[in-house]
Amino acid sequence: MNRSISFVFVSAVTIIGLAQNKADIIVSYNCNTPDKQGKAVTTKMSLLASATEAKYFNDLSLWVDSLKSTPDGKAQYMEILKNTCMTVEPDGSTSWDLRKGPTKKTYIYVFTAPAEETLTVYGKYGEDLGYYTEPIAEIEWDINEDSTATVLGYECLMAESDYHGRHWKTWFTPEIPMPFGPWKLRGLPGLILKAEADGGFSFEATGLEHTDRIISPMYLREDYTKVDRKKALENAEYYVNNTESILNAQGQNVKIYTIDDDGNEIEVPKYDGLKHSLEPDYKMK
Amino acid sequence: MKAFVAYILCLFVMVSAVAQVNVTGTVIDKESNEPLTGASVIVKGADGKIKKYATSKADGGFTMTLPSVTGCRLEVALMSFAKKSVALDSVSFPLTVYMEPGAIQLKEVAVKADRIREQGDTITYNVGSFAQEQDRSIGDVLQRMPGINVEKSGKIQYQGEDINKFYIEGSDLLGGKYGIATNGINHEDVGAVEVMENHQPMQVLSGISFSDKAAINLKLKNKAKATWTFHGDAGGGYSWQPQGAIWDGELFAMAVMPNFQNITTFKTNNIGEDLSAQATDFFASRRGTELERYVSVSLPGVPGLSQRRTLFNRSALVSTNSLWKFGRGEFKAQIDYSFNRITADAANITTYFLNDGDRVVTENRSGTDRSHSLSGKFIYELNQKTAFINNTLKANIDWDNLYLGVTGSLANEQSVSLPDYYIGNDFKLIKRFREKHLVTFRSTLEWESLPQTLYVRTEDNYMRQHIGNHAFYTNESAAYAFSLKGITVSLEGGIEGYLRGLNTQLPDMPAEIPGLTENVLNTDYFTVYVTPKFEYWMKRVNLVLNAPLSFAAYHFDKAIANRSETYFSPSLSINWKPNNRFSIGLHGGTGRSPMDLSLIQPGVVMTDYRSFRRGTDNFYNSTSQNVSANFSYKHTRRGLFANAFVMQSWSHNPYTVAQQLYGDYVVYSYTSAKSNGQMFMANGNVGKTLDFIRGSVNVNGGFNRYESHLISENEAVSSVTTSWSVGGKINGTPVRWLSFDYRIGFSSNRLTMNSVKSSWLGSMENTLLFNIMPHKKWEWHIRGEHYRNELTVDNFKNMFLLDTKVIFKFNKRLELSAGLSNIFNQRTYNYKSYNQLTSFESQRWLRGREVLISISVRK
Repeated sequence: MNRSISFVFVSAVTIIGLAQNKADIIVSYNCNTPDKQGKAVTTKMSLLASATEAKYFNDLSLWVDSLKSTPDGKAQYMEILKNTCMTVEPDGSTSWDLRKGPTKKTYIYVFTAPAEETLTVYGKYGEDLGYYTEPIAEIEWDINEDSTATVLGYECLMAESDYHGRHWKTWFTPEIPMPFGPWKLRGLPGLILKAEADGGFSFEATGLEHTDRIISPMYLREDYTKVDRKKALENAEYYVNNTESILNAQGQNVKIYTIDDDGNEIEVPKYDGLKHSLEPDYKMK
Repeated sequence: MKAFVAYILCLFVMVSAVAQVNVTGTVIDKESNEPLTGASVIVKGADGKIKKYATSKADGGFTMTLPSVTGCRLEVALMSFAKKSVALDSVSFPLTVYMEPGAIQLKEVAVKADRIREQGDTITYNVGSFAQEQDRSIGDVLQRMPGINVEKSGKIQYQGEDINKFYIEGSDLLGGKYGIATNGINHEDVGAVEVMENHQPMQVLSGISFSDKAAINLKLKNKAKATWTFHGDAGGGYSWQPQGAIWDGELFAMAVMPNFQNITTFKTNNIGEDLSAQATDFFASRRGTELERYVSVSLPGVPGLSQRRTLFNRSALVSTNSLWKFGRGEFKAQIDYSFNRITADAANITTYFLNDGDRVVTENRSGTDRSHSLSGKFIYELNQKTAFINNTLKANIDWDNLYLGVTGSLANEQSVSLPDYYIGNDFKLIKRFREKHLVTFRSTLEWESLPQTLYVRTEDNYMRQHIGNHAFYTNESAAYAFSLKGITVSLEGGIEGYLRGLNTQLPDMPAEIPGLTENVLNTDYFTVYVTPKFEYWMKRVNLVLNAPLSFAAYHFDKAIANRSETYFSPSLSINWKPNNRFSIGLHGGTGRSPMDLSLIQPGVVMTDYRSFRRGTDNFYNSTSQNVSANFSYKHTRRGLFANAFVMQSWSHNPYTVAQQLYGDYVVYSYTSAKSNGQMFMANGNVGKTLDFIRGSVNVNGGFNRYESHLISENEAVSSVTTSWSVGGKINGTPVRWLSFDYRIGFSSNRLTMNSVKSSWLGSMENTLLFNIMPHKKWEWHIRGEHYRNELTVDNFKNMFLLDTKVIFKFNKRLELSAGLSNIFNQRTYNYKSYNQLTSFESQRWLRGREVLISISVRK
């Protein structure tokens, strides 16, 4: 009996082991977007890719999610947060400053699977975690081979397309024959190393290496519910611009403000998808 | 009919106008015959431009529609497979494209995790992103991390302050002997270096007592944890000066287990690396026995040149360090033995500046120093939130025998025997109860014997100086502290006892020198002290006021009159950290202290063949004041670290050093006279990561001014030494096959005596290392050192030394290297320097050309 249990266990481990997909390469990107004050914000993102799938994510978020996916890890994570964010004042009182600790700030994960011809996006929309899928073929690119650029030493060709409300120019390299790229940009006959859209949105690869990291499936997958992309983005914008009244309606008593460069309390600038979202099509009727 | 033909024709033309070619097919793995998903399929026109593209689906299939495929080619590419190209002119669809294994060569550009991260008070440096191919130990990499400074001695500073702990995976295995780890642990076994700012090592004091020091923790990679790691190097070769065989070997073993840690290392070489420095305890406090060496015969050294160029040595070091955790405590045992045999030769011209004309003494020196040092340390420690116990038993035996032969105006031979025997025990217990109350007990017991024997043989004379010098010291104290709302008030009370005996005999002395030749005396004291301490610590401000008060009774066994004294030395420190980036500290103190008891010595003691020392026959107290400020700034995301330090101190002594010449002999003594000294010191340091070349840059500068007064030949002499220095270093890996490391330092100093200013004399040092990696398995180092020293005004001595080394890596575990150092075989080095009352011109010898073949093995 014991033996058969261990056999089942070993088989299960083997199956899980087989199901894990090793990546061939890892690419790091700088993702630049304008914030609500119009300042450029750079987020470091990574792309793990093999011939058959790719995962786009933020390293810190992945680390936090992987820790939080097991009870032991969750306890460990709380301990880390406590050590880094909690200050015990000499009088015994405690204060928390979550900005000091390793907290998750970037929620997006994009999984691209050419075999299924879809990509799956996980994110946080307002207060809710959600996911949706999109056909890979949705973007139709026009390749303009006369416009080239060199990124990280790779000769790249330019391709253009309108996608979800913005006009994207991307540079991809046929030297790395993978139909992936940063964020949801994909479907070119080579890895996308650079992309730009009007309004201050851009991606640029900053590193590229061989790797044998595992492309792990989405952690805490069960926490996400299927959403409609445009509705979710609309909800997210509504939530950001009305957080104070939403929280107060829930019975809390909060005042949300921001501090300008001179230290004055000012109202939080409004989020406007047309200016601040990578895909503002949800605002275009 | 015509109409019909025309219609058909028309239809045909139309059909051919809309005729499209369906380019379809399947991509198959030739070896396994399985379909391949995700392959990039491109149709290129005759002009080589992309006409259409697709990606193979789950079944390996692809479909594209083109108006025509004339002159076109189909290209299929997939990672790990060779690219396939098919002319489409004469093929029929669907196509089957078989892919064969083949690698696509990636031009790798390092993907960096953030090189430096900050979480709370912990700064984490990613080791891989600072390491260069030529680095071996973690110490090599630490030097490149901005904010961290590794001094030449191996001592580590963070933002200008010495670190207070060095941990390996959170355990303090080595104490202050962390040089064993930094020189031994392979950097590839370390994932990250963590710096914990404001680190309070005693948990019982956390939140109560502020620390402005940082600790370092090495986070090992998983492969180095819960196992033994080993590495060894063995090298042999030939040297042109000193002529003969050379060797360099090392064995290093480390175990990092949950309940046990061990580092054991054995090293030996004769290539100029002084190993005893690697076992130096950087946290050692001054011994309470306070014994001093009267005899000061030392081998000539070569200031300004790296030791690697000038040390003629045979050295060996064995060190074994273990840590066992049991229950809630831990036990540590550290045992070290080192041997050093150093030979040195020099030709010197010493000029004494005297008011009635200068006096010149020439000499050639040649000597050998053999020293052995054996030490053991046994520590039990319990470090908890409510209790802290530490008992440290330490013992040390040194043997040091030195021979120095001098030819010249005063030919002689000196031989010295300087053994040292020491044993001590420190005990500390701190108990925290009801959260806010602390009780501390401390006990220190030390005994030391430092006998010294100096034999001097001149052409017509033979002298023997023997000194017996031993002391016992004890310090027992108890303290109580309570802490309330950020304010901690403590009071420590204790007693100190000190018994010291001095016995010196010099049966024969040059007739020119007057005075006694024998000292037999005891310098004992008994002290009762109280130290009130007030500490205020709220949010980001910390203020500490310390006010030690003591009453001491001195007994000199009738050699001089007994004394009773009261001392009070208050000090104040303020530390302000307005945010995570800035930190500012101010410190000031004033006090009165007894003189160094080893100066009490009515008779004459010979310190070397032409220097004699007569102490005082009186007891003096001196006073001093000091103020200092430090500032540090960091922006970890930008990898920017900066710090600055300024200090001014004053000292007032009721006695002063006097120097009297009797023929060729010099007698130093102390006379009653008001003597004031003051010192000003300022230095700064800025470091920054250079991410675009995976490197870092550092700039530092310093200024010192030291003013003192003494009496020479019955005349008062005031001297001012001013010096400044600037330096910089930069390193990086701009392209994959090349890394570089460049350092430059410039310093200049001037001596002013009785307002007569001599000229500024400067020296410059440049070091550049290139590491070329033409292939994964090969490395080629080229290293140049350039020194430019100003001997007299505008008279420069230039020296250029070049080394090279080729390394072949069989695999990650085995490598072979062949090195050639000092290629031009430079053998001598001249320089000139000043001290307080003399100028010193010298010729020294360098290590000549050397060939060394080495093999390195790792597990």
